[in-house]
Amino acid sequence: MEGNSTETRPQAANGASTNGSSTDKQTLYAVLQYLRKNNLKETETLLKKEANIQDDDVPKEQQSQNASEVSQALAAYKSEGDPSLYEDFYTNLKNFVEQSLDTYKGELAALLYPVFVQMYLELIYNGHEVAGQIFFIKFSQEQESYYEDDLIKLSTVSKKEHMQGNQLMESFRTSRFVIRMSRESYTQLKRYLQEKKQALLLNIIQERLFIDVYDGLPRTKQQIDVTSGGMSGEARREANKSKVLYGLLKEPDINISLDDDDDADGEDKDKPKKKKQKKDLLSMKKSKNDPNAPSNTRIPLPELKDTDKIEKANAYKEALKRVKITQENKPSICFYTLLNSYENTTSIEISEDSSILSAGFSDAVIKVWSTTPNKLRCMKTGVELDMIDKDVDDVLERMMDDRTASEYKTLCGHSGPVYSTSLSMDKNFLVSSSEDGTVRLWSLLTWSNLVCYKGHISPVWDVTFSPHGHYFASASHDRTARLWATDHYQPLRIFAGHLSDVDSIQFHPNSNYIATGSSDRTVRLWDVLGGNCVRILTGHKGAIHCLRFSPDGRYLASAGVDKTILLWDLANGTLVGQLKGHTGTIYSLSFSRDGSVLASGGMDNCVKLWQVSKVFNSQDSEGDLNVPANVDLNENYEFGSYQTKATPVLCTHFTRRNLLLASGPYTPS
Amino acid sequence: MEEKRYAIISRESIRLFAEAEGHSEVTESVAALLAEDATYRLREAVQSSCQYMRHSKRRRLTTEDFNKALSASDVEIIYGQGSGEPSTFRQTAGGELHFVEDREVNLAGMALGGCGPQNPGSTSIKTHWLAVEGTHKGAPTSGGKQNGKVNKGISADLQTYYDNMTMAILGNDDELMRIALEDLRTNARILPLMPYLVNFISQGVRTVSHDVSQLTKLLHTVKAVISNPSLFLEPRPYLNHLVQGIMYCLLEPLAASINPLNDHWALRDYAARLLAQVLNKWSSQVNQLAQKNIKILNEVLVDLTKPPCSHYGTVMGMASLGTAVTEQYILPNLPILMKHLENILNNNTFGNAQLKADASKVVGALLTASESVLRFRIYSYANGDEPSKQCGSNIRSKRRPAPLRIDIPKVISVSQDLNSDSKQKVKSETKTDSQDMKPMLNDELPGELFKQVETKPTRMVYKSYKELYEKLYCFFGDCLSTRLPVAQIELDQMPKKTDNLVSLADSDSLKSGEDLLAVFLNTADKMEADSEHTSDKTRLDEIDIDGDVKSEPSEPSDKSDENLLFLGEDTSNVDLTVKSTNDSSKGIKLIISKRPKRKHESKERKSDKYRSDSKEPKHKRRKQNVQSSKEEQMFEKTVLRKREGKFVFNIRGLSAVAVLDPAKKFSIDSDNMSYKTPVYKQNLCMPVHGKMWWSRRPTKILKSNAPKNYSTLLCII
Repeated sequence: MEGNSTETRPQAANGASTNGSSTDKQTLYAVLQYLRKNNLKETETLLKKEANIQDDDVPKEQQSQNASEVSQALAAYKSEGDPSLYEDFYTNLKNFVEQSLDTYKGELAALLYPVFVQMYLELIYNGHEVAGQIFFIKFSQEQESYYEDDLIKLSTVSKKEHMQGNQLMESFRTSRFVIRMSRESYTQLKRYLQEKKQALLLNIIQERLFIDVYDGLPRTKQQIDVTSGGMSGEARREANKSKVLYGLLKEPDINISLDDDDDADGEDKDKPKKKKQKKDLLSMKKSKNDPNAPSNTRIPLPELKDTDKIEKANAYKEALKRVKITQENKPSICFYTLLNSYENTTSIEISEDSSILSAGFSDAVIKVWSTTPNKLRCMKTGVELDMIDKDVDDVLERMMDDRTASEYKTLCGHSGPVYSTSLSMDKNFLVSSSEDGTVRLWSLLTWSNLVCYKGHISPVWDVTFSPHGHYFASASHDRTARLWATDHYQPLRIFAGHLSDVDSIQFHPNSNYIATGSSDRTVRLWDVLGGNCVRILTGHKGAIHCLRFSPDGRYLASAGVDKTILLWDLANGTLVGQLKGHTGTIYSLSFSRDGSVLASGGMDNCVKLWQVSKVFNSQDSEGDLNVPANVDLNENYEFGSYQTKATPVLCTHFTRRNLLLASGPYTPS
Repeated sequence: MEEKRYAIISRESIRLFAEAEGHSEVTESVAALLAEDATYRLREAVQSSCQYMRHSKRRRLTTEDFNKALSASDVEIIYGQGSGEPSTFRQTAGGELHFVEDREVNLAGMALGGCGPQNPGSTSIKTHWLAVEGTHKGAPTSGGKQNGKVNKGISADLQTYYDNMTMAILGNDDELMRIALEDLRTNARILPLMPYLVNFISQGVRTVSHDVSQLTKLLHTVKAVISNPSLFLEPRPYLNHLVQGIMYCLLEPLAASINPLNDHWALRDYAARLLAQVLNKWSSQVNQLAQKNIKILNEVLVDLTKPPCSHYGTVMGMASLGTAVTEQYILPNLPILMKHLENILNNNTFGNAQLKADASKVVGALLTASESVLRFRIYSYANGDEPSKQCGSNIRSKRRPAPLRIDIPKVISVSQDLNSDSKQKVKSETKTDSQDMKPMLNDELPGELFKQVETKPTRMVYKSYKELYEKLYCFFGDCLSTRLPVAQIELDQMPKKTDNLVSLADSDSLKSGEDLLAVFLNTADKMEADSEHTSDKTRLDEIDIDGDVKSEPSEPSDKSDENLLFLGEDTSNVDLTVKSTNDSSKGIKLIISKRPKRKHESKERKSDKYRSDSKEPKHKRRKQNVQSSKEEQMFEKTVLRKREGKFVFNIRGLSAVAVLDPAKKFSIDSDNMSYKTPVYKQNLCMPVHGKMWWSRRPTKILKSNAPKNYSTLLCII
């Protein structure tokens, strides 16, 4: 004891001499208290004299907090705090939150989880394992349920060495947990922290947390729950501030006899007789030049070939025959079951014009089927190609060798399970990603592998082609997403920012943005031009396996392990809809061609239909933008649910005429 | 978050691992550290492998996932093939250690054993409509595994299926019918169709009762339906209707049966088998299906006003349900029934012909049933000796269905030697030529019922096999005994059936037919020599002993060959003529004619003991010395007389005629059976099993359309 007091005395004296900052004074008083408590009267008087403290300056502390106050003060001078203090701090914080007003409670309660995590990590980091264990056991039960997974992972880490190797821990330590708080709640918090002089807590909060303060009404717990769940908290406001050009690209003029393209922003209506039909397809809101649409040259896109124009014309014709899907007029669903797959199938994709189905398997092969009566043919050899007449109309048909026609084709080349395939719009290319870390480009004309892109070194979970061709993007276990072009062997962009591996990736219809979903439970929108992240969308409580943009480009639907589909408005990054109903992980989403119906399928062997037009229509009113979620949680938008026998639904796809195709492998248990 | 328990590698385990690796000295702290680290690594690997599993769109974590997680963490993977099922762990005696069983496998045996890997087939795509304009297609609750919507009505898809099925089944195309039935048998999604199918069957049997083939097809449908593993027939009306349909086929005097050309007997047999199948599978204590139906059968059985075809149906039905049922229900009623049938059979008016034919069928059915009972007894006595040994040809034995769970109140308590473990198989004989029986049932179950009931010693119906046999013999006589296996039972309790009951002579009865005939010929020679003098104008009336019951007139056979072998004596002299025809559809015609009264007959009468004339073979005379027991009188000997040194007879399907030089030995072998030419000088060969019983008035069964005075010869081939 004596030693203690002698130690602290010179420090206290220094403190008093240099600057009478409140913290030091506080420490001083604490020391005095301590001495008094322990009946070290002499030392006490000596200290007082030296520090020039009057007796009555010493604040009368409450008895109950006496010891902790003192130890807190002392703790500031210990390396990173006495482990036993953490418990006390946390308990205090908890009490504070409990006692605060109801309006603030929700927001303040959001603090508890990150503080808990950080405290635990600090304990472990400093080697106080036992204390860490105790701390964890005591408080982990009280955390929110959607953090359960992370807590489980946390619980496995009990040593500093473990921490250093663990990605998750690193991300916890390095990133700052974001909490959004209204100004009023924030004031409350500040007051508490200053009053109680809890240095440690303050430290943690300042260093590890980021409190994003906004002016507005405090959110309720419910509202907070909707958007919480991200591994590093919610998104800062700045993160979602930048403008996103979510409009569609101006469609090029196609001078083909019949008509122009379908949903055009600012297309010349110079074919009056088609106006009537166009009305169905055009959205009346769009003006000639959509302010929200990027210019056609923002991103260099390949020019349209003749075949593409023909294809577009065909697409438009098909669109005219489109069936309108409503709750009364439900779609027909055609199901493609993969038999004899024995849990081997890892991914299924259907091409945009619904004529080709490709499936990836865990034995590293890709099988491509034709869904139409036309068989898949291989292109003729060079010698033969020279011989055909190139000016004939059906030269494309003549190029193909009918002798090689078959129902399906197999593509072999990967050395690990193929987790994802994607077909280009012109059906010439297929790109696939695999566990072996490579992305391969295949030609669907010669049915051979063209390029192998090696950039990721860890498994590539997802790959997708751009709707305009030429570009494709991949998502990998190394927490990055990469943008590639078919003619470059190295990626054009690397999108880094996720805290955990990127599970799914999707291009925006205008090819200017890429959405990624990750195991850190956030969805990020990246600008292809600059490679920067323009939106961070939190709210999922589990990894995100599927993303889809609405056909008009304004909304994004995401779904995954948490069995919920979330709908986001990309204009301001707010959550507009939450669709619950599935009982298993959702692996596939598909918007109908007019964007009014969403079909989803997953591991619960079920295809569900959702009336999302209602959701979007109710968004017209401008809500409080500060509130990141504007969701009506009571409404049920599901209007159809179709169970298959024993087949998880891995792919859903609306054809151009709004016929729903779905596919999955038959897995009898 | 609830308290969850995670995998922890304990220090004990660490110590054990270390020991296994050769490090015996592991201190406490080291073990603790290692344990913690190992636990952490394990959890990390598991979490990582979950990622792979999720991206493979699976719910089951496989060894491959784990290996990939290990390789991602730069750990050497675990080499080898993973298995689909989790490993089973066993505990050591002390309970400390859990290990995976590592049994030795005989690879060579496995490889050569024939259970090789099957080609599962490559992945293919099957397209179907999951919904059409919003309405769910097909049966969502197929297989009972889903909780989709329950369809109240039947979907159009199923309706079409049903229509197509019914048309295919009742149509003309056999192939189509077969395909349709196959699908019915295997299709797992037609549960909603059950009421329709059952209705189809029960209505169908009534409407097409004139057409045996249609009825057969309906029975096929029933069979397909009950063979379908995914159709659950327990709900009350289904089983009842199905069984009713079967019973209808079985019992009713169908419109089809009026025309004797229709083979409704086969239909009834099939129905009987099917009934057995259904009852075996679906009868239970709850629905008492078997009991009810047996009762129905019983009622029909005792009702003598029913036509014989119904009786046939009941008998076959009961017989197919097992020997217990047979014993319980048929055998007690046998006296009455036989009497009734005898009346019919004795009524030789022309108008009664059809009825007689039917009645004889019934008798045949009864014979079969009794035979099966006796067979079972034999085998059970023999303590379950290999049942497949059978003397006889063309035995078809089939596996039993599951034992019928009928609670038989009365138990035939057999001897203590009854071995219940034997698998009893009933042999079924094919048609025998000389019988007017139909093909036998295949799935009778004699044994299994006894297995269950043997320990209940209640009222005994028959005390012993011997008694049972005797009783049955009263009715059936040699027909029965010839059907039973011979000389394989060594136990004391088995009565020597031959000795007491039927014996023509002592030594001769043990001889085979060949020997007997050889002896005949010898003596016939002598007789011939004697008979040269006497003008033996024996008229040969022919008796047709064809197997056919159809009232075809016996073809006048070639009278050129007249051979008489005299056997019998007693009051009437009967001559046996073996006649041949060139008609291959005829069977053996062994014609025994009763000789009209001749001069010499009076002579015979004079002779008291010598009941034959001098022409009789010697040995027959010897036989006469045997006491005439009651049974013996039934089997009077007839005289088989040889004439002109020829012994001619005709075998069904062949027109070969054997002409045997009496000097030659009468040999019989089967090689020459295929001759079709009416060769007079060839050896006719046929295998002869058992004994040849010559009987004069064997039983009433075998009286067919033959005129009154004729008796018949049984020749078992």
